[in-house]
Amino acid sequence: MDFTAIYHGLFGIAGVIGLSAIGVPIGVSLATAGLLGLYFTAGPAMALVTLKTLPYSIGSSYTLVVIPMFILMGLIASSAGIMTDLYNSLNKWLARFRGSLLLVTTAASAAFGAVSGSSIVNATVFTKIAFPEMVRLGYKPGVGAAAIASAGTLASLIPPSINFVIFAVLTNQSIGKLLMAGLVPGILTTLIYMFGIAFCVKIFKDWAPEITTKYSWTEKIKSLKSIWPVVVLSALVIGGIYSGLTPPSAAGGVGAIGAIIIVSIQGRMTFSILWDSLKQTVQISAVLYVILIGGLLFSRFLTIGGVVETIVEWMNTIGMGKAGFLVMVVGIFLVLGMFMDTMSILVITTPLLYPMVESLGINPIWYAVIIVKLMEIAVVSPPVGLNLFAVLAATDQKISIGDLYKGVIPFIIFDLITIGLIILFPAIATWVPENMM
Amino acid sequence: MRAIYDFFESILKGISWLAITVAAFITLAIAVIGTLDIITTNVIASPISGAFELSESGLIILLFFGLAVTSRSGSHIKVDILTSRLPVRGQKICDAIGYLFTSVLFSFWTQQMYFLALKSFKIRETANGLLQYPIYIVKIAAFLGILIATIETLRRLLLSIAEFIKKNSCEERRD
Repeated sequence: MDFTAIYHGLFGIAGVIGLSAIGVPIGVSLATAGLLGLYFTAGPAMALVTLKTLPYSIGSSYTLVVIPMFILMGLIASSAGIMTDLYNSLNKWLARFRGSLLLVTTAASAAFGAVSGSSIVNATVFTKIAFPEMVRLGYKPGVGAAAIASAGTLASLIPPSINFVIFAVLTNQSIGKLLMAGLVPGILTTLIYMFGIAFCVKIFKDWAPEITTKYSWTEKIKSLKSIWPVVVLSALVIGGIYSGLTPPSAAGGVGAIGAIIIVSIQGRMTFSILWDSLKQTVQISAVLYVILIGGLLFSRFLTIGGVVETIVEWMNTIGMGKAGFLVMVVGIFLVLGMFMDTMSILVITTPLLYPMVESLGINPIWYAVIIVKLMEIAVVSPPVGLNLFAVLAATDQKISIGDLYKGVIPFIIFDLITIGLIILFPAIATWVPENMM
Repeated sequence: MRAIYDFFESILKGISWLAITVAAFITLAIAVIGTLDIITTNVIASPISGAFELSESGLIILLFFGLAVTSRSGSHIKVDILTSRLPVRGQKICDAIGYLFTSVLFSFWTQQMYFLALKSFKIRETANGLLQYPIYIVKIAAFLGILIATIETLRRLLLSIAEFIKKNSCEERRD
């Protein structure tokens, strides 16, 4: 076994962790470690040529067009009040159940996940819509906030999901198949959350107050009129990709223009909504681009420096099977998730772990769904879980951080049940992409 | 000294505004072109010539101009679990180190983009595809984007050092 390559790899990983820990932006840490690694393993010329060609070729790749387009669609839809309409409508349908606001938040977040790829956006917006009402009606604040943070994560699984696009770019997999792979696991997660909430409110009476409001069938049916924008947008994007009418890269553009037209038809489009959404799209895309470039430079170093090859060889020597590998992956993601954001985890781990996935003959789509699901747990895992802090930042109400941490534990358990089911029954993740047109 | 800094700052602010405006229009244009291409392809079986290449070129300008703007606002993603627990002085040092690494990386990147753009300009490179527009303009734009990002990062590095020195000298005078 080539120990030099292992040392190089370890130095590289230690470099990324060390630089990130002292506050160097994650993309810059990855790029610096990657370039220095290339410098020492393949020579300065290779390092500079890679810096010249790789960022330009990735930045001008058509597959990446989908990222700003999906971001734009989500931003326009969320700033124009589409989520509020969806929430109010679902509230009328689910008000007859105890803990209805927790159920409504979950269902609405899942539905909105079909037009937004960002879990933080979902968590932030639903905090503003749902949390004050939860507190007013006497819901346990820690549980309410945890439900909002957890439901927000559905956006990163249900198509369109930015995480799947980044994984596809890093591994050269089909974006369309990966996006569709998240659909059934996303619906399954939603159902498990809803059943879990319904079960818990029966046991823990302090989670939610008694039922006070009921709506007539006329009111319920009338409320459906306001959810058409979400139905149309998700049909345009998911239907377009599934039917093969729109390639994923173009589906983003169609979704963004669809959102602009729908919001205009509703009379809610203002110049400031459009302008702010466009500006935010540019900035978010650029931030993601730096992380992606950093990850790819680091990945190039791991491959050219022989690190990946040596690790795969070592894994074969010790006879690590699929089960052992998956246990290792779950462990890595749960630990990293406590300290890092999802995009950074994805970009750091994929170059190292993906060659092992290929070597073990694991279905890449199944693997992608498992890691995206693990990243969902990461964003609600104490102490750093980004969605927990997104909820805290978006509310004016006081929530004790301890209550929030306690509140999120049941949702992490629900997520672990879902992951267990996906591992036991891979078809949950692979059936839809395998049967795409 | 202050007047010179303010002068450069106002110029950089103007450039940043221009960069985000151009990038925002390009974002909208990519969405429109992509949608029209899908409609024409599915309805009249005639895709828009060059839609693919124009989207790719638009994306590169969007990303590099976006980079200039994010570098001005300092909104790159950081892991702050350790740094946020440090005293203010420690946080300032970490900020400066972050800007230093970013400046060095961006400087090398700018140099390489300069070589790429220069080579493309010398041969008056055009896009490979049905619509043969000058691609060297896109590469020059990308070079300008990363150049502005580098200047902005250097500005933030100098600011954080100046702030640190000022704070230290104030504390010394108080002692």
